Amino acid sequence: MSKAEGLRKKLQAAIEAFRDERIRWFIGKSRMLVDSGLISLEKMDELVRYLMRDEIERHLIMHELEGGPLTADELAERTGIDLGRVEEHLKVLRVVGEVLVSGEREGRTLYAIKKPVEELMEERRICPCETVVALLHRLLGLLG
Amino acid sequence: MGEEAGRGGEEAFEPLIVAFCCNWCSYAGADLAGTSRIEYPTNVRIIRVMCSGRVDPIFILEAFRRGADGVLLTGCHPGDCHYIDGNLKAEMRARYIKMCLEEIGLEPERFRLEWISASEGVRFAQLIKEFTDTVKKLGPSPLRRR
Repeated sequence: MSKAEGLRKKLQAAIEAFRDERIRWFIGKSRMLVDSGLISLEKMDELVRYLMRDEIERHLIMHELEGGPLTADELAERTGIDLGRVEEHLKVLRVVGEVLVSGEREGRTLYAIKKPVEELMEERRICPCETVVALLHRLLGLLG
Repeated sequence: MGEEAGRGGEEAFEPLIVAFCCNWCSYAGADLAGTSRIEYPTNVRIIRVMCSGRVDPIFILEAFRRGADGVLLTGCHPGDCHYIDGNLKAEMRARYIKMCLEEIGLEPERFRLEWISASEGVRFAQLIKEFTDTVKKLGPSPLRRR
């Protein structure tokens, strides 16, 4: 993978990371939080950098998985992310149900993405309240 | 802006700069530079937005993705924002956009936030000259498709 190609992938991952509510919320509230004295600017920078790095790396992993199931080693090699961090991200992505274990290859666990990244991003944007309202509508529909 | 924003070869590198200017101050400043016939490099493509606070970090990153060599975000001076604190919001965003560029490996100097008032036509022209020189020194963006 050329340097430009790697950069292009990272930039795409960053664009998607900035679409994510977690980063948007922190960046949107950063000034208010810093001005209120709840957190120092340095701490806020640290927090946003940490979040940003996490999200960019996760998006890179998810994009690689869109091409088909891969092992953690393969993901580390393709994304250039440290294997330990890849495993950490896979753990988190499995907990949230966006990545699944799809089998084994030469004794190594294969990971697959549940849905295309675009669809997963749409799902992430749905507010929990909307899910509750939709559920209530369905229940009331069933009762009515 | 087209998918392929970059133009020109390596021999005579002419950077492509995208500038987001707020309607009330910086765009008026750019307008003043024009009406006062102050010369500045033609490398800049101005996008007028109602407020610098309207500029989502995604706009900046998307400009880079489409091949911009540099991106400028200009707004009213602190305290002068037509929408009270839009420019202050932009300031925080700019801080994190730079951080993001650093994180992905693109020179953060390719992005700059500046305050330009409606009366600062000369300053606007000077800023474009300075920024064009900075980007020229950095060279073409690695994301520019040749």
